[in-house]
Amino acid sequence: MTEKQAHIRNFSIIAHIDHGKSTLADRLLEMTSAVAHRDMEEQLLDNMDLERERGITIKARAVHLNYRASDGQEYEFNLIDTPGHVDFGYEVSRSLKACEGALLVVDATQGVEAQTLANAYLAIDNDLEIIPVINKIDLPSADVEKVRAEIEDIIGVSAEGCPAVSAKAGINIEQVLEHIVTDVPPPQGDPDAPLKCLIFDSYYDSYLGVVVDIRVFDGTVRAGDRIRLMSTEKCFDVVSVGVLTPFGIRETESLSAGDVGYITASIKTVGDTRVGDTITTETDGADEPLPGFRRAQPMVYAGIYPADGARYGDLRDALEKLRLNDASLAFEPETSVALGFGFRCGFLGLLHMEIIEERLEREFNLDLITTAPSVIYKIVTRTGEVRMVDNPSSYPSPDEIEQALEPMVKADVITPTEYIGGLMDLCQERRGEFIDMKYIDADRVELHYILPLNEIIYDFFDALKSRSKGYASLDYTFSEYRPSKLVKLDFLLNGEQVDALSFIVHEEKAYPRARKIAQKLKDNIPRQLFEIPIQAAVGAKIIARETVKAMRKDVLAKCYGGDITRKKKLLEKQKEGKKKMRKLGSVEVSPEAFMAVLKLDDES
Amino acid sequence: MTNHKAGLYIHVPFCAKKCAYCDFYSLSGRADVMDLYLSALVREIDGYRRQERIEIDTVYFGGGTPSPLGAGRLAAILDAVVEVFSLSTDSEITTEINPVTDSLSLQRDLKAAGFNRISVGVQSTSDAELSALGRPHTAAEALDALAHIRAAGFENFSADLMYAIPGQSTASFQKTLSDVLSFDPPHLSVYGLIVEPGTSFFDRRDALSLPGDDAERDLYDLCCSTLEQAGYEHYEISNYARPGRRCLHNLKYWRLSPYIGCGPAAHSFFDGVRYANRADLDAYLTAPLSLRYTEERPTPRDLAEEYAMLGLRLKEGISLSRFRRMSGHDFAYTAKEAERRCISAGYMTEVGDRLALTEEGFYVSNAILAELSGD
Repeated sequence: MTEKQAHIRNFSIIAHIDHGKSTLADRLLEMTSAVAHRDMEEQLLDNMDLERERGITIKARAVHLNYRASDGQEYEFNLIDTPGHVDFGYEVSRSLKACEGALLVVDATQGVEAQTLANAYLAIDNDLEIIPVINKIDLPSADVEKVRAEIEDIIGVSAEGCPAVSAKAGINIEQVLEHIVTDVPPPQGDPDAPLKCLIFDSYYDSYLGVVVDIRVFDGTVRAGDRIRLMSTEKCFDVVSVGVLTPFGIRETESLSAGDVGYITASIKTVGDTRVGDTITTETDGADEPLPGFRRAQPMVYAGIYPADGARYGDLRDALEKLRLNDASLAFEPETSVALGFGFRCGFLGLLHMEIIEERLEREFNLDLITTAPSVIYKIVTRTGEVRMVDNPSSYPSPDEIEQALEPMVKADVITPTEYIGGLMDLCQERRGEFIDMKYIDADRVELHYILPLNEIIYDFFDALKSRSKGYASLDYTFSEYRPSKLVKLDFLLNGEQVDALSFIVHEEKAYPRARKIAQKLKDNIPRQLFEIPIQAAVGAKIIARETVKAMRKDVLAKCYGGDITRKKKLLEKQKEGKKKMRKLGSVEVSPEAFMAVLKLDDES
Repeated sequence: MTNHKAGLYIHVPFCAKKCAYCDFYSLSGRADVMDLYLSALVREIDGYRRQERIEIDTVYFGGGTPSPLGAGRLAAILDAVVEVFSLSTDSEITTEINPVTDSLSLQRDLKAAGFNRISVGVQSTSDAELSALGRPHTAAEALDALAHIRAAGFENFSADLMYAIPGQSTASFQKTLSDVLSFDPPHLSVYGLIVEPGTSFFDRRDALSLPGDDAERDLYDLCCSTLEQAGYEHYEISNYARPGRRCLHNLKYWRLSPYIGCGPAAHSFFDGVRYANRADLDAYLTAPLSLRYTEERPTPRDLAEEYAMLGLRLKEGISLSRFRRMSGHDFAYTAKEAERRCISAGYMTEVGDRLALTEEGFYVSNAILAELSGD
């Protein structure tokens, strides 16, 4: 270990959502550098408005801090922020890989939650030194000793003497810094060995181009070096290297084994810099990449359409811009008879999908129509061909299918004991397979289920929250594909199939879903001049029907001389309104009504 | 069919009390300026004096309510009209009255002054409904007014009725109909209540217990069948008449005939221009001719559209050849399939040159018009 390495500490902060990770990060920044309190934007690490509003961190970032410890020596800290949601599990794991230690923040009033556990296990798997930090001790309901015991019992790490802090009130933050110095091991690695850097994030900056956040494990990288990305074998020239400080970017002469920082190179798109990939030099490079690389695969697909068909081009531009910063966002054009031109988009999970939708609407001022999310089904056809189907419209007809498989996830639910019954009901209803149940303490349990992912994307999270008054938490990881009895459910208005409403569902769920959606269509399609029959069908078989009765009143009762110009305008407005309608076959439906039908509020 | 003589509308912007649903221009408590209004109105009428006098064959006094002006002032206005316009001898001369300012002597004086048609705002014969509407009169006063009209010897008159009133039941609407039918009125106008912006109803619309579309439609259907049985012709969406007793003045609006409106907030369609007076009584009193503004100079195409929009309000419907002459193309030529569906669904009939909505079609006429516009 070099002298320099002995004074480096690379660490992450991991926590369940809302346990105060970002606030703690703020305090660490405040204490270590001269970030004046008044100059500091709350939660500095989170760059995007949306992240701040939702209190979640979407993109990981690394920040370089200097700290003079009580031993009188100067240390370099690299704080690597991690996303806190299950959708970004792989990104979390890569961020952790870049560290030697992790602060595990646990809310003193809530205790250990599903994501605390999931993230803690990830950290343990990556051989990180874990420093528990019990936060929010200023709250009246804080129970530090109980949480301390929980951390030891459930996670199995020692919490004796761990810092108990209030990040919000700035209590005991110094202790956290000292623990980082004493407990987090300094990085290893040989600065003179062939270069090996781990990419744990990348983003597009309009001035710098693609900025790649890296951890150097071996070797040294400088501006002018010719580097090679080992998964793609693509080579680039390094333009600059440096670190991100709370004040912005600071170029350095080099980054070497143990360092965390950024490089810019002649890289055009973040698609080339996959998180988890290894960077080495073009010549005399490393023989083997760092282990554990895989491409982040979208798990959830949905069609996204502009509410106003004329804005298709704007939507495409917006998606392209978002993809600059988000290599896990996949999209390709698709056409729907009902909705016109749009895109089939792939997301890591439902939250990722929501974030993308919100950013499209907020940052690009687009009104969207989003079809029901779908998972990727694996279909083995009679001819032995295997097809991955992410779009109900390309689902083969039943007589072509030899076997249909659907993705299953391993789900961990942590809940106060009083909600066990309700949540087990929920998991059973959602075709869950019970694995086991572990008592965390007298009040809380951890439930383990294997669940079909298509049940989770159908409003599972909201149902979980509503049945546990918000106390239960969920974490899931992909487990496997399993054979399943799936059917494609179609809807017909006026006898014409509406492609955008079709979805894949388990055979047993087909009837209730069909009835429910038919009912919703009936409630949301405004009455029109002619009666509209609504039918739900599996193949040629109609399994539910409703009728939207013909409208009975749409009239200007009084129309005399004085009003004629005004009345004419009223009618013209009505015609304008008609133009905004989406034609679903011969039926006109407003974008709002369409969205209301697709909204997955199964619990209400 | 087309009548080239104009209609004359006189807007009287006074009323005893503003009703909760009324969005016409009218003011209460301005009795002090009635004489000033009269002279301003006479000046405006005088502005229509031509070498060759403009021919008119209907005169209609509306408001507000003309009756607070008193028979003397109403007669003076008619005198001015006769002096300026060429008024046909068989003209229809109507005034609206409000039961609260009605009396037998008023009716006799109106008859003597030359009015030959009265339109009385009955609205309902339930006191509870009248007070919900903010009407200033009772049911008894309304029925008295009908009796006075008869007693004064008017052969032609109309009663205005309303349904979809907050708190109204089917039975009470039925009672209103039969109470009024006992006077055998030659004409009835029956409107579903519309909650218009700018009225006191609109401001508290969420607190009103208004019937839904279905309940309102049931009342409309009840009205149609009751009046049909009683021998009335349902000649416009909201208007019913004994043979020969249709309102000739209002027909001018629906048939795209010319009309001149005098008084603040009155609208005109004359010499091919739609124009109007601003709704400002005080300005009107001092400079009646200064309030006029042009609303629209309809192109032939606009006129064709108006012809369809207005003509399809009438049982007689529109002449397809007249529409073609006006617009240069066939009616609904971009929406032939929709037209066919409307006919087969019983919303519309096409007989020879005439296309018309049925009673079924009347109450969804907006949607039909939107459907037939095709784009």
